[in-house]
Amino acid sequence: MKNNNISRRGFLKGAAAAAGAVAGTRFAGHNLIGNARAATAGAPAVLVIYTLGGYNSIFPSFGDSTSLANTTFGQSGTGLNLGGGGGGAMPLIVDSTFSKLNAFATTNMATVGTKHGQSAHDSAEQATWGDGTNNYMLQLADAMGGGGSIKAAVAGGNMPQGPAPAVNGTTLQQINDLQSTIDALSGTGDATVPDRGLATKGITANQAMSKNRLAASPKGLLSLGSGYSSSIATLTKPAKLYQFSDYNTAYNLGGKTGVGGFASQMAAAELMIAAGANVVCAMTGFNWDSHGDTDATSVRNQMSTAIIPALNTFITRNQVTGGFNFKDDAGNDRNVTVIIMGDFARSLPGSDHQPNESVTVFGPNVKVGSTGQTDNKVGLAPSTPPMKGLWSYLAAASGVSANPFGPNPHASLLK
Amino acid sequence: MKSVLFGLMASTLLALGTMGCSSGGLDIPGDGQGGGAGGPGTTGPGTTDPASTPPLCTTTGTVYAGFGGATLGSDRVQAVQGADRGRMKPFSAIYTTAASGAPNEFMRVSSYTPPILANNGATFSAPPANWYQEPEASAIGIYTSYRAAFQSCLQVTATGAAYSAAPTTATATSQCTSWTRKFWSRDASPDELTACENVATNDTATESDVNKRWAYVCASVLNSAGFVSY
Repeated sequence: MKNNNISRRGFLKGAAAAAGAVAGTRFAGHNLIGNARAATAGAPAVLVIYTLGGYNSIFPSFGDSTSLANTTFGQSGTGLNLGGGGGGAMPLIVDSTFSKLNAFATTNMATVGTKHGQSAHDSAEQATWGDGTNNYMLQLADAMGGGGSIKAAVAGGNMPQGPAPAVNGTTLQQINDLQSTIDALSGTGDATVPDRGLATKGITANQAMSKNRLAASPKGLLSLGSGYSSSIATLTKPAKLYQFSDYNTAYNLGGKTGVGGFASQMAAAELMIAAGANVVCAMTGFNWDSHGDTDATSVRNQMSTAIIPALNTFITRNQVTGGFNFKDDAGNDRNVTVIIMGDFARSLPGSDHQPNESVTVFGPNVKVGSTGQTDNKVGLAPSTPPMKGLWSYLAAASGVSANPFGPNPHASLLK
Repeated sequence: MKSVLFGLMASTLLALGTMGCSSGGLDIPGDGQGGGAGGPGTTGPGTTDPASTPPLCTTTGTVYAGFGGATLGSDRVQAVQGADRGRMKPFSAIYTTAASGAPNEFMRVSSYTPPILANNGATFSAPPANWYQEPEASAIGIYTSYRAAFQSCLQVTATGAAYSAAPTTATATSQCTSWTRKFWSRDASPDELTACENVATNDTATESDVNKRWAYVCASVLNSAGFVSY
C-alpha cells in the first residue's frame, strides 16, 4: 500500500487545500562556486534516514548497567559493544539488531546525542529540520558546495516539515520516480523526447512566461518556481547515463520505478548522490510512533525487515570499496555519511514521547563512540547540545570548512 | 482508515471555518494579471487607498468560541483575500485513462493525452485512490511535464497549413496569441507574448523540421504556469 507516502499531516495539508573535515576541506559553497571540492577529497554526501514517529534509543544507545536497566524495551543480555570512545565520548553499545548491518557501518558508527526539547510530533520534526526560519538540510547542502544541479533531494513523497527557504539557490527537490529522474539526467529516448538543448530553452521560456503568475502566488507556487530553476540547472549539466536496471536489480524493485517503499528510496538516494546531490533525505512512513511497544519488538522487526536489507545494499554500493557508486566522477572514494533519526526517542515505560534523541551516524570520517548515551530514563546529559550541534557535526564530517552551524560540539566522534 | 476519517473531519471543520470568513463576492487576482500584478489595493507607487484595501478574515469573519472558551481560528494564518491562490494542478486533472472516459486538461487543449503520463503518476506525487495530497512541483516533474507538453504539441503541429512553414515574426505572434489564450484561458501579457515569440523565431532556429519546431513553441506555452497551475 502506497499510503506510507502520505502522512497524517500531509493529509491534513491536503484537506486544507481542498477546503480552501576531515576527508578534505570544502569551501563554503553555493551555486556561484562551482566545483569547490578539494582535489584530493572524494565527493561528500549525507543520507538522512528519518523514521517518522520516533527512533527508539535502544538502537543507538543500548542499555548497560549505567544506563537503561536491562529489562526495559526487551533488553536482555548484552548489546553489540562497538568500543571506541575517548576524548569526551563514551564507548558505543548498540542494539544487537545492528549486527545485521554491513560491517562498514558498525566499524564506522557513532551515536550523537541531541536535545530539541519537543515531545509533540510536529514540533519535534520541525525542530529537527530547522529553527523555524532556516532549513538545516538546505544550509548544509549549500555549504557543501560542489556542482550538482540538485543539491538537496527528498526521496519519496513525504517532505520534511517546516519552512524550507532556498539557500543561495539550493532548494529541496522531490524524487518520486527513478525512470523520469534518469530521463531528466540523461535526456535520451525516442523521437518524442525533446532535444536537450531546446528543452532547456523551452523550460527557460516556461519560466519567463510564468513570472507574473509565480509572483502572484509566492507561497502556493513556490515549488513551481524553484522547480523551473532546478530543472533548467539539471538540463544545463552534461547528460549522464544511468540505467534503471542497475537499481532495479540491486534493490529488488520488481520493475517498479516509483519511489514509494524504503528500498526504492535508497535506490533514489544512490542515484541522486551519483548525480551530485549533497544531501538526500528519505522519510519513512509514519509507523515508528511505537506507543505500547514496551519490549521494542515492533521497532526491532521494522529495523530488521524494512530498513536494514535495503540500507545494506546502499552501504555496499556507496560506502564500501569496490561498490557500484563508491567512486565519484573524479575517481576518488566518496565520503558518504548516513544518519538515522526520527522525531524523538521513545520514553519509558510506555514507549511514548521523549523530548530528546540519540541518533545513529556512520561514514568514513566517523569515529566509533557516543555522545548520546541515555540514562535509565532515556534522558541525556544536561550538557547535550541542541539539534544544531548534530548538523554542525554532519558538516564537519563532510569536510565543510565554513560551517554554517558553528563549531562542532561532537568533535570526539570524528576521525 | 483512522487517518481518512480524521482528514474528513478536518476538511469539514476547515470548510466551516472558511464559511465564517465569507464576505460575499471576491475579485480574485489569481493569475497575476490585472489587480493581482500590482498588488491588491494599490493605487500607484508608494500609495495605498484604504477604501480599496481588501479586508482580512479578522475584519469580516465571525468569531466563534470553542471548547474551553478558546477562540477558534486564533492561530489562523491571516492573508489578504484573493492573494496567493495559485496551486499546481493535480495529476488527476492532467491525466485520465481513455477507458475512464473522463476528460483531462491535455485533451481539452490538444485532443491528445500524452502517453508519457501513463506511467508517471509517481513523478507527480499522484496519491492513491480516495486520498488527497497537495501537488508539489519539482525539477524532475517539470521536465516530465515538458516532455508531456511536447508530445501533445507534436500532435497539434503535425498537420495544418499554419505549421508547414518556419515561424516568422507575424506567424509567431499569431500562434503565440492563439495558444496562450487557449491553454491559459486568458490573454497573454506583452512580455509573455515576447517570450513565446522568441522561442519561435530564435531559440528553435536550429530545428530543421518545421512541424517539430512549432511543437517546441507550443510546449513553451503549454508547460507554463498558466497551464500547469490553476
